[in-house]
Amino acid sequence: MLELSIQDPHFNEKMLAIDALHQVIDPELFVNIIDLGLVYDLDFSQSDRLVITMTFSTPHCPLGEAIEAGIHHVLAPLFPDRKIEVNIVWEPPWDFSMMTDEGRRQLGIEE
Amino acid sequence: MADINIGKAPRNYAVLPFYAGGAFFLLCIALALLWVVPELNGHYAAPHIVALVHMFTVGWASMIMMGATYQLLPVICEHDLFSSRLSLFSFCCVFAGALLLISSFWWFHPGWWMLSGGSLIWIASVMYLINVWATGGHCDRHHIRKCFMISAACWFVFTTTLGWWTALQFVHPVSRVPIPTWLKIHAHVGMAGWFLQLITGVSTQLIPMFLLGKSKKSYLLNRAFVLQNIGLLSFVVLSWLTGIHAWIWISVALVVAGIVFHLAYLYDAYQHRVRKPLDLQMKHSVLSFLFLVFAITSIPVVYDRDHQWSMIYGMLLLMGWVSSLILGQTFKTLPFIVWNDRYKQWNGKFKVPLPRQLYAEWRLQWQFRLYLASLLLLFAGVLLQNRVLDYAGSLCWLGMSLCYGWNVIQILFHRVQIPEHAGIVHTRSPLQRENVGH
Repeated sequence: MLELSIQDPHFNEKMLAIDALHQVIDPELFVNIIDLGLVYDLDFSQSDRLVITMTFSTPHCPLGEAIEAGIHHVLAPLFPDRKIEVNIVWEPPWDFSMMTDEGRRQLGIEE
Repeated sequence: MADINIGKAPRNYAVLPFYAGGAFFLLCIALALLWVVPELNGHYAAPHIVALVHMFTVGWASMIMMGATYQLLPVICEHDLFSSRLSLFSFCCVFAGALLLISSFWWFHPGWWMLSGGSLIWIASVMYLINVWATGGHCDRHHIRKCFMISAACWFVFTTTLGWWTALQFVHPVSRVPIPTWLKIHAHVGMAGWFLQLITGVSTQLIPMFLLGKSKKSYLLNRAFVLQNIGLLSFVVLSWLTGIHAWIWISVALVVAGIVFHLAYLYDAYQHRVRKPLDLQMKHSVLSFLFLVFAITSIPVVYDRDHQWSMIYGMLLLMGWVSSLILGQTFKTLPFIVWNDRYKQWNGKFKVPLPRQLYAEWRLQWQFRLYLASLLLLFAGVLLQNRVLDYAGSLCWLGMSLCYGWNVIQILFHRVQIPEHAGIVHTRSPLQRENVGH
């Protein structure tokens, strides 16, 4: 799960990136990838790149390319000096418990 | 980018023609249904009824199922489709073959007309098997759904071979086995091999995914696979060797047990779903499996009764089970396929429509209502032998198919509308404005 600490030296950049990633929708579930909990990590440690570690709700998701393109589209203008890299992982596997309360509300999931 | 093969959807021409072809034949079915109303209470082997049955099985159901497999198998196998071109060729063959075969039944022209139609459909089924086998061969993990899809493809080739062989018997009767026996084997292999096994494989992947429900009881699917295949194999061998006899019930019982395990898996996923409300597409799917249960429970009645009950049995399977599933799942799959093609490159650049906004929800609602009305009226019409009810049901089916076809056309011909500001859009949030210059 994506965790954010105010003591993180890249706190501001991460907040910007998270805010922008709210615009990227998983078209299969109609919910943005942040509230779905698909984004596991944002790595700003290298000065010339931003590495987004994330997963998909379904392995070999046919809409994976669309989601990746969306990430590039929203982050590239924000961080023009960094190369945007998307690192897809299957561990830990995504499940519904990784969603935010807002994501659960949008999907009509009962508590 | 990690070295993981993420979704490379098949080329559009590998999948979309099947949906267009299916919608075309659904409309043909509606028109033919109106035409054959006076024959609905007659024998199920009458030429017009046989033509209608092949509109359902080849033009409508097989067409959509082939397209859906080409889209779904790469997801299950986590590998790209073996050949998109082969998919397109299989579409051309099955479409042309269906037109030839159905017209040959309608005007009853056994001979080269029927055989050439059957040959084209057989070629399509072989191309389909090659594509499914080669794509599934790259699957690293054992996957029971992949097994269902491959076995369904094998049964598909077998049933098209049997169909072609039966057509040959009309002009060159070279087999000692009577034609009705060949027809029964052909029909049951198509239903319990091709349709049932593909639906089992596809539905147990898609339905839990759409319901956000998971079942941990995958052993149920393993049992379903073994029972359905052993049951069908024994049915084929016993029927071929000895004809249809009472002890065929053992084969029927095995297949039914396989269906029970399949439905038990779906029910478990349904019970554990986190998305409680069912949308119209899922209601169609639930209805489909209810029709399957009704069809199974009607088997003992059909065995002892006349043609009227055989007609009901066939309607439960083709108009109920198969059609309801397709009518719902089309709008769970097709909008995503088209959306992925048209909006993939624009996602995040501007506010793109959602896949469900590519078609009209009100038409889907009317499709569902008219579908229910149509089946209720047609079942009542056939049972009561009332022609007015038959016509009313057929008109409802026509309305339903128009709603379906209109939505499918709207999705297929959807054009991307790019706002003037696209390409430079990144709407800055208040948070971003605060951090300018950071």
